[in-house]
Amino acid sequence: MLTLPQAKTKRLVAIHGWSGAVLGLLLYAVVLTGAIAVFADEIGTWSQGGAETGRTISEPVDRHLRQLARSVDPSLLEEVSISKTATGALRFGFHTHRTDPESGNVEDYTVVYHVSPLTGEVLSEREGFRTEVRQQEFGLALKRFLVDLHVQLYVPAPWGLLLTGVLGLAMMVAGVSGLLIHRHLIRDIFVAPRGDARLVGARDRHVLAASWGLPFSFLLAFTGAFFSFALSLGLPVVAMVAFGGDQEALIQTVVGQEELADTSPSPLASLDYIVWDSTDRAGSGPVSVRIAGYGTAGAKVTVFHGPSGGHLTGTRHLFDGVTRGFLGTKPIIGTQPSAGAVAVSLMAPLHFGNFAGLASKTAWLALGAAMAYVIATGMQMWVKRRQDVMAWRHVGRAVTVTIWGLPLALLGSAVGFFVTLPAGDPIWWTPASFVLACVVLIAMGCGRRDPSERYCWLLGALCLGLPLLRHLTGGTSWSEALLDGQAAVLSIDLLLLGLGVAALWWPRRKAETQAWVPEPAE
Amino acid sequence: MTRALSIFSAWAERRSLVLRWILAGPVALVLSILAMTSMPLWFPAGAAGIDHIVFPIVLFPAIWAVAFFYACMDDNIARATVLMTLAVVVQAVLVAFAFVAG
Repeated sequence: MLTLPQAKTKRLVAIHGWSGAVLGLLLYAVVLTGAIAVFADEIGTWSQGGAETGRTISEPVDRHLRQLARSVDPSLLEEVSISKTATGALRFGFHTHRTDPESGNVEDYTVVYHVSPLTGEVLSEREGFRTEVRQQEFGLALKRFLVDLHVQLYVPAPWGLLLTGVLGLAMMVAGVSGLLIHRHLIRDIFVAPRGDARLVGARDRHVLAASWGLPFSFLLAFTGAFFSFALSLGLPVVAMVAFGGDQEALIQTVVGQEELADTSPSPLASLDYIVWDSTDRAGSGPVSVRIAGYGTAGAKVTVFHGPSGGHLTGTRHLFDGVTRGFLGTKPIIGTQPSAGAVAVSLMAPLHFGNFAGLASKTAWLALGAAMAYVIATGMQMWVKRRQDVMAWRHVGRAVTVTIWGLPLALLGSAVGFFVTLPAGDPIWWTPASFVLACVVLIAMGCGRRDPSERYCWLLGALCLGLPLLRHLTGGTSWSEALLDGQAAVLSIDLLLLGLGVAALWWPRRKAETQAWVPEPAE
Repeated sequence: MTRALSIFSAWAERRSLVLRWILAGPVALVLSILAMTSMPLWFPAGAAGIDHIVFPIVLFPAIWAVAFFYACMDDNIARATVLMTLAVVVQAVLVAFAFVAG
């Protein structure tokens, strides 16, 4: 039991409340989209269909690589990347650096091939600067929109990252102040919520969810603030002092890239052998392979493996590209193991929850959803206590519209994606559908005193309709998914159908409960 | 000296709310950014030569949170003002010295 002097407790209560009241709506958007984005890869697979065969490279790649390397501009052999797409195709990227005539900056210029791992057939070919290639990958539009919304709220860089960084700090403030003002932390973990519509009932549910999610909220806020500020603020500031403002030099040092020792021509050793050797050492297949200096005597192959065997982080193996000799395990940053590399390597698994496969991802989704619930109930209590004031009543309506509107608008963006995927431009229409849905939902919310019931019906209808729409617009059918073992397609469809049924049932249950429990004067 | 301190303390107490807002808001932010900027100058580089670059960035949210909660929780607002101002000045001098030295 934590006991603080009354003045300090009063100060902390004000900090806890105002941190949520000022930034709560944006924080709710970041946390809810983040909880869903835990399954971004699965959503990518679900939305674009195809035959997923796992994200690790288990098929021979050497022959495909040599065929493609012969056909590309030799300057693009500066760096080669190999990975698997969400639909199970092999993705070969050939990279170099060129000056973008539009921006005037030196940027990554690439040609990307998607290749069938079984037949070696080239499924698609895209060429251009990195941003241009991204604009052509229509199938990934929904996944990328969701991730962009979470990472920077669709605000241009670096302002979006700074904004989400500030929101991370606000979440830390709300979490720590919430912990300090808790008088009965252990007891609150087991509190039984009272009543349904009453303020004490709302407070019970808020405290219950917050108590369980407290360590998690701190973890997410800290790692999230790190990711947001590292690129937008940390790297420029540190580069200014340590490298005289040269961010490239800083990145070279941190990433641990070394200049190619020998650029004379020399054939690459068997990549299949290197992948096999690396898999044997790591105990799991690689998620990606990077070759620096393809076709030169100084070629180096880095093989990346995801977490496996109870480890929290993945591993990277470095091989000589000519002799195929194992050069050692490469840390995530720097050229040799260090405390800094350990600290940075922990950030991603702790934020994304991808260290133990489906189990940890499900836990991260549930805890993320609980945090979104804590923020929503916290804001509802804040405005409910002030509903005598007209301005706060308007804020209360904005809170209701946002709480319901965000998941509805996300479903609206998915509708836009599926409708335009077969023939249109889903890269443009996915965010446009989100904005359009927001406008419609705000208009719906303005016209009624309590729009939550109508929103709930709409949520149910959209959740039930989306799997059907996905199927009608050419998505993978359930029978194909069963035959190909595509768990993501079936799981997400069934989850949506379950949510749809629950959303249609909930208003009826709420009406019955309210008929039995009269609103007390609190 | 003692008299000056007591006058400052009384002045700070009268303006404790405004001072606390300033300390927890802009001062905590400036302090944490300056701490991140000056840390590469004194933090050990470690075996791989990257710890002095990485830890300031990793610890930035924690430094800000410590500064924010200290500004909010210290009952003696005069002490908090002096300590945080001193921390800002020391870090700023370190950073300025690094720039001047090239």
